[in-house]
Amino acid sequence: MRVALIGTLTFLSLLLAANPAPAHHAFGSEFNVNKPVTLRGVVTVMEWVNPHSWIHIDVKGSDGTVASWMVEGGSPNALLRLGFTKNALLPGMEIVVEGFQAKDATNKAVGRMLMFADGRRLFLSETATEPK
Amino acid sequence: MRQKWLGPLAILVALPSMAPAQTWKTPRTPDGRPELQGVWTNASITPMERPAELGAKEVFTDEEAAENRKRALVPQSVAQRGGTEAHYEFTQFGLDRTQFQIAFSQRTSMIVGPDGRVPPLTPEAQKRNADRAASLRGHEFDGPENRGIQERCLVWGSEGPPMLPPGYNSYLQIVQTPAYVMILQEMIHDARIIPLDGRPHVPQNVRRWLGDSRGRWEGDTLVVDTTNFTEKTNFRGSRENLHVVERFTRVDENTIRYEFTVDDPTTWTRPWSAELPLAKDKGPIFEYACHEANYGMANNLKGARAVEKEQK
Repeated sequence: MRVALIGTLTFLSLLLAANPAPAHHAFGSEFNVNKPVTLRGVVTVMEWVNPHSWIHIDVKGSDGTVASWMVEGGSPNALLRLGFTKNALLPGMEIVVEGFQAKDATNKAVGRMLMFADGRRLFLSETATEPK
Repeated sequence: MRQKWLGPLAILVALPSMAPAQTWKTPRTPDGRPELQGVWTNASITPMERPAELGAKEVFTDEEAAENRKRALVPQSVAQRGGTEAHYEFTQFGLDRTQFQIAFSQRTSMIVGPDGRVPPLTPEAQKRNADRAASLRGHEFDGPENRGIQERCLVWGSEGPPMLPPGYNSYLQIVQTPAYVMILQEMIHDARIIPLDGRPHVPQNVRRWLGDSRGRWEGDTLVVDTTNFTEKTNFRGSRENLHVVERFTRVDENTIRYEFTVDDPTTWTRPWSAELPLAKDKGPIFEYACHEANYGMANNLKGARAVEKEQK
């Protein structure tokens, strides 16, 4: 038991030591962790740019007005390796984004979790290659 | 579907030493050198410095290593991670270590030797680092020039040399000719073109982001000597005076042993060395066109301006 615990601790400390945060930039100065947002919108553009992909969506408010948002996602290279292609997320598709708004309070957010309207998660194997 | 077979693949590729050694012969280029060409990954779960509780233990037992591998292949929830990662669902973006091949090592730390730690900084380096930090304090977000060269998409922090795992997209490609070796790292797209003809380093007044590399063969090991870094590059506090010697040895079909020794008498009290494997990867390597003035840079500076406004 004790041996197992020490093993676990050692492993956790290895993981912590071995894994620098793979974010490209100073997250805390770009996005506000105290401003979580949930957005439901229609895709207008997906920008395949490194270091981060950006998905543009139009979000309709309760009063009918439409606001355009930009959502930061992961590195296109890693998405490509998941099998995600340019045809997997097309203009007109509805998605739901859970994330955090930009510190400058403009309509930008980092996407912590992205889903299709039916709840399937974007980018993962079952949704990576083509829309259903 | 794709994810489901990546896990078992990682295990298979990670255990090359199980192949009987006597049947494997070093593959060679037409001019008789060991073949180092191909796409390789240095993704790792081995820390640079040894966790203190492991003391002088340099290598895990087979059982401990197997247990570590098993645990590494279980996706981690964001709750288990700290810092920046908690803001991303890693598996969603293909950033979780279960989603790519890891070059497993039985070592407890990349740094070799009984203590497995970076040696102490010289008093000169401590003062230099403190002065630099003091002059930047309070001005970190004044403008793009005050941000790190990684954030500016100039040179990745792990790019080196010495080359270390960047955390994601951890791939590099090696191309050989009789006269040159080229090493392209996906993060962030720079190629080192290394002459093998014995020419001297460029003059002292010529400084390069990745330094000036010269290669030679010592038996079946490629040795690369690099100097002439800039004062803007930063390897653990060592800048323009960094001297790196890397050694590439093909040890089996799927593995290159990558060793390096770094030396800078203006920074460390002694030279130090580390070792990590490069594991053969099916590739391909992708372009990573990280560009200066990307959205992240502008957003960071705008965020800082917004915070300043609030504080007034």
